This record gives sequence, C-alpha cells and structure tokens, in this order.
Amino acid sequence: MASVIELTNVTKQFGDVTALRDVDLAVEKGEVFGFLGPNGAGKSTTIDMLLDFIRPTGGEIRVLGMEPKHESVELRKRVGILPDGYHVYDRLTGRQHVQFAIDSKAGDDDPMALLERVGIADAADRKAGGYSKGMTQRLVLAMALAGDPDLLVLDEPTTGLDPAGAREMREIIREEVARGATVFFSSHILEQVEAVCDRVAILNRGELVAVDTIDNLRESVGDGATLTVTVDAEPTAETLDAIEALPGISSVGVTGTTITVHCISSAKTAVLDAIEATGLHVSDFTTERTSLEDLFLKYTGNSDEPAESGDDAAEPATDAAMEVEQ
Amino acid sequence: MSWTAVARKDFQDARLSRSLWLLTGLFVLFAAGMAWVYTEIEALGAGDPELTALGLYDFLASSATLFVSIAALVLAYKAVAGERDSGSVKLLLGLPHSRLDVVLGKVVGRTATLAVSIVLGFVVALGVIVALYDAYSLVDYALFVGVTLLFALVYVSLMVGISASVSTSGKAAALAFGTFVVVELLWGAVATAAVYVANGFALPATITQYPTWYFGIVSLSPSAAYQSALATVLDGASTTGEVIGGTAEAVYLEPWFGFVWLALWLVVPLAVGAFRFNRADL
Repeated sequence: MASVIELTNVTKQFGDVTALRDVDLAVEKGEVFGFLGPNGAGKSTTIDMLLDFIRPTGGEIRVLGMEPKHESVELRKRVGILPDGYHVYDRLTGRQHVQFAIDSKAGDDDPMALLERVGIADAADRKAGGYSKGMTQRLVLAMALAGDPDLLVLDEPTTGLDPAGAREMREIIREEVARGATVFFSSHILEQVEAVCDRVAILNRGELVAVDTIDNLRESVGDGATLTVTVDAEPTAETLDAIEALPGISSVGVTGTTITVHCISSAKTAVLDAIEATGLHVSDFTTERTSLEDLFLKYTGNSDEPAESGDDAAEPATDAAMEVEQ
Repeated sequence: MSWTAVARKDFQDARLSRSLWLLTGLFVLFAAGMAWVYTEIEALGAGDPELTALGLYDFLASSATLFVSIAALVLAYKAVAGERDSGSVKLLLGLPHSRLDVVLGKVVGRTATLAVSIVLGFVVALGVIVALYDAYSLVDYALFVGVTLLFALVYVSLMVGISASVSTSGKAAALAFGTFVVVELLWGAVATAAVYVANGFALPATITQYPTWYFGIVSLSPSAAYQSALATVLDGASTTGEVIGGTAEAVYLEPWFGFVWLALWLVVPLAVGAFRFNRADL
C-alpha cells in the first residue's frame, strides 16, 4: 500500500529564503500523523504544498498517489482541509458555507448534520462574519468533513478553541480515523498532538529533525535522565571514554570540571562508578528526568531565540536528530 | 465543471454588497430619468417617432456605459485578489476547483449580480417609456438590454482578469482604476497621441487627414465597441465610426466589428489573469 502522503527531498524557497529544505516524509493510510514545530518552522508551507496552494522549488510530492501540481482537482475531491490563515465569507451564513463545500464536492451530505457534528447547528443561519474565532474554526472543520474525505489535513486545528472545543476536535479526529480516513495534523503545541497522534514529525527551521511514534519518543526520554557530575579535577579523555563505553548512554559533555551525561536512569550509578574508577573524586552530582516537552524543546532549540537567527542555530537541532536515531 | 458552484456562491455573496445596491439605486433613477428627459426634449423638436426612439437608446446607452463600467469595477476588482488578501482563497481552493474554474465562476457570478441591477434599471425605464411614448418596439428594447448585458459581461471579465493577475486588493484597485481611466476617460487622447507619434510628432491639420487606423483605435475601447454593437442590432442608430470619420474605410470600422472588439476584451485580459493566477503561489 502506497503512502497517503509522500514527500521526497522537498525544498521550497521564497526568493532567497529557504522555507523548507530537503524534507522526506511518509504518512501511511489510517494514521493520525502529528506535524510539530514552532511557529515559522515551515509547517504551513508544507501543508500549502500538499494542496497545491504553493509549489515546491525542488523534490517530489505525492498525496493519495497523485501529484498536487498536475492532479490538483482530483486530489482535492478526496481531501478535506482546515487551512491556516484563512478567512470566511462574512456575508454568507454557516449553512451556505457548508452547502458550498458539499456542492463543490458534488456530494449529497446534509449541511445541518455536519454543523451538528461540529457543534454550531444553532448558528447555521447566522452570517459567518459574526462568528467567534472558535465557531469559525468549527465551521471550516465542517466544510472539511463534507464528502467523507480520505485524507484530512488540519493546520493548527485547535487555534481559537477552548479546552472543551479542543477535546471535541480530537473526538472528531478519532471518528474520522475509525471511518478509515488518514489525518495529518499540525500544531505548535505538543500536548495536542500527543493526545491523538500515532506518529509525529518534528520540523524546525525548515528541516525535519525527527519522525517517530509518540511511544518511541516517550521511550527514548521516558526513562531518560540528565546526570550532572562535579569532579575535583578536569576529566581526561580516559574518563570520558569509560563513560561512553557504558550501556544506556546517549551523550557525554564536559565544561571545566562538570560532566553532563544523558543516559537511561538505571545507568546513573554505573556512570558515577566509572568516574571514580578513573581516579577522579565526585564532589557533587544532580539528576533530572527528561520529559517529552524537554525533548521537543531540545529539537526545536530555545524557544526564546528569534526564528531568523539562521543556520548556526539550526545546527544543535540536527545533532539532536542524529542522537535519537542511534 | 465546478465553476457553477463557484458562480452560485459568488452570486450569493456579491449581491449582498452595499456599494452595489447604492449604484443600482442610482442607475434606476438615472435610466428612468433619461427616458423621461428624452420625452421632454422630443416635445421641443417635433419629429419622426421612430427616429426619436433610436435617439432614446443613445441616451440610455450613455448612462448604461457609465453605470456598467463603474459598477463592474466596484463589484469585480477584488474578486480574486481580495480572496488572496484575506485568505478566503484557501477555503475556495481547498475545495476541488481548478484555478480556471475559480476565475470563470467569478466572472459568471459577478455578471449575474450586475445583470440583476441592469435589468432592474431597464424595467423601470421601460415603465417610463410605456407610460410616455406612443410608439416603441419591445423587440428593439430587448435587443438593447441584451447587448448591454453582453457589455456588462465583458467589463466584469476585464475586471476579474485584472483581479486575477495581481496578489493584493491594493494592486488590483490601482490597476483596475488606471485601466478605467485610460480606456474610458483618456482613450481619445491615447488615439490622438498615437497619431501624433506616427505622424512624426505633429498632428495632421484636419481630422479628415487622420489615418484610418486612428478611427480603429477610437472604436476599440469597450464602450465604443458597445455602441458599435448596439448600432448593429438597432439598425440606424448612430455609430462612433460614422459620427467621426464618415464612411467605413476598413473592416474594423464596420459597426458589427464592435462585437469583435467586445470578444477580445472579454477573452484577452481574462486569459492573461487566469494564466498569472494559475502560476501564482497563494
């Protein structure tokens, strides 16, 4: 079975700004796939290319086996989209919007049933210009659901929704997957993706830094810890080699007389023993558990940094990706 | 073809535009007023009733030219660019419409909207005519309304073409207004300037010495083409070519050629706009 979404070496440049660089990604049928990354990472650029709103400057895209650029209309007959940065038609009612989506897909859904499903049936005959952000988001979701699409592409779907709304959104996603649809769901908030997604991709500054299941990601950090050890003299290469040789170590770093070790929790004692065995004395040490959130932050860099800080800042994220693959 | 869904949606949306209803109100008053004013003028100089009815169409056509061109501009310059500006184009193109379908649907939807106003204005004017005239031809009147609707289609298509070729409403407004000024207000000057340049930066002494193609340029503007087309269907009404340059010396000065010019205005700007829209990143 071919992948529902397949990106091969996809690059997008706007003038001399590279919004997306050599992205490879495959989303399988029936998955809920989370597309994570901070604002400005290139998530919407990727989604816009799936729908042929914009075209890649390099690489190949296949969605439901079709090339967006050449089979755009056929493709969109089978896709439901909740885009980012959209605007509704202020003078048309909610019902007219949904009816338009149904007519466009030449379907025979009942607009009221769709509005009912997203919880705004009571506002069906009000003009969408007067809707709140959350109601608008529900309305566009209803439009996306028209015609039972094979693929739902949701760009930041929980924007403007309160916690209850976000939960309803997740329920609808689960219903759609149960029906057989594939869901591609972008967000800059980890928890929302964590709650529904089978697999996630993490995008940072236009590059894919990790693709894995939530469980694997959790496993890679769930038992993980950061051990910070202060010793009485500068550690030698011998010490570091001894630590690295231990099982369960993912990285070792040194600053002066401080050694920082990322490892699984059970390896902590062995690390301390190894340090002592090379003749150094441990004067102090602390340990810290790593959470999924830490992992996300590690991949996407310090969130306080401006997104424009360029290539240098992207480097640590790339290193992190290599670590996880080991 | 999915342009029908786009056209229907667009018609629902655009007909609620307040500026359109304001313009329609003015047009209804203007068309009815013209019909009435003409009876007053006719009363001054007693004449052949059939000839005066033809003169009436000149009167109505001049008000229609102004209304249609301005209303089409107001109604259509944002048709595509405005959706790109606001982001509603992502809803529209998230649904299975080709970009050409969007452009064609916009032309049809907005023309239908404008047609409602035009028909409304001319129905009221017909009321005035029926009340005040002894002789009138319903067939001629229907032909006149029909050609005016064609003119509206052409103008909307021109404005949608402009709208589709740029990325923001601001650019569309500037281009649409600039086009309106040039083809409606400065067109005579454009033709004269062309003669001036071609004649070695001097104007011929009298208008009879102007080259034939000068009259061709004058007659190709959308509103001149509309009046030529009207002259063709309403046999005997005045035409631009005859008014200015005497007998037709070239095929493009024949009144029926007005339909050819209208067809070009209908297709060429729209094709350019659709081509540019098709290649654009949204």
